[in-house]
Amino acid sequence: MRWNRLITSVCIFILGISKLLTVFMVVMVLITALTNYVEAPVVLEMGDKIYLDVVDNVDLSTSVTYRGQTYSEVPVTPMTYFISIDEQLPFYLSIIPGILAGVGVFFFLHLLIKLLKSIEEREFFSKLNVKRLRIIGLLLIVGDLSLRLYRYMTYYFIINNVEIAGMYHSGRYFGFGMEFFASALFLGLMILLIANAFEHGLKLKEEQELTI
Amino acid sequence: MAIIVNLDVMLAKRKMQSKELAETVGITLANLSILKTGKAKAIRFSTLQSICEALECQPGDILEFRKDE
Repeated sequence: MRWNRLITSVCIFILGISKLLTVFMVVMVLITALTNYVEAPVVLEMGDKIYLDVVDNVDLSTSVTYRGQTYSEVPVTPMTYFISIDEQLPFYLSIIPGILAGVGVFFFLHLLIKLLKSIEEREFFSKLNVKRLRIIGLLLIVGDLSLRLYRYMTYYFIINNVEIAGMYHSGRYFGFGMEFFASALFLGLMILLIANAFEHGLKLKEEQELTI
Repeated sequence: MAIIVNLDVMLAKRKMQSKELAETVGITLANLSILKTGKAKAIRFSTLQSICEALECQPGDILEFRKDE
């Protein structure tokens, strides 16, 4: 029991720091937006997410030792390319998503801390906790969906606005594989399920408390 | 609620105080007041038995059914 409490306290502490950092991040993004001062250039990652075929393939080969056996002249194929340009992304792809993400994360952490604090005070089943869990679940689902939307937006922005000599766009990876089960969408759905269980628990608790 | 708790009446008849009953039955005064005000959702048979023993009455003397209108 004491260990459980310690773990909860540590979690609250770490989440509190994360909350502060989120505020700091949002403030920094806001300052950047207001002063129009951006140091980081646009960095494009061409890899798993955006397939680009290179016309003039860079031929690289090296020697590889695998379990004691050496293979020479093994071809190396780059899978990911990073391209950085001294330009700013448009505000709807940089500042607005940044602020929205910051506010979302802050709210999420705030709710999580309150939930943990209520658990520390042995108040598992309360209407507030059910509400908190529901909001946390919905936040995760909305967050996951908006991240997907953001990826599409940047993807189309790059296709329409960036031309790289020697490379052409060949396709885009899309799929709901096993990654769905590791996504925030799935987690959010599970948390909504748990919120329903909490609601039932709340009913049982009330009944139990009003049994004399 | 269609079930009415008539503990007050029985207590008055036996000239017993709530505090005294709570002590003999072994429940808190707060719980007894929940029972008396009709906020309780259920009563354990063991509690009912103790109350009947303490007040020397039948469950029917404490509980009453009235149709909802």
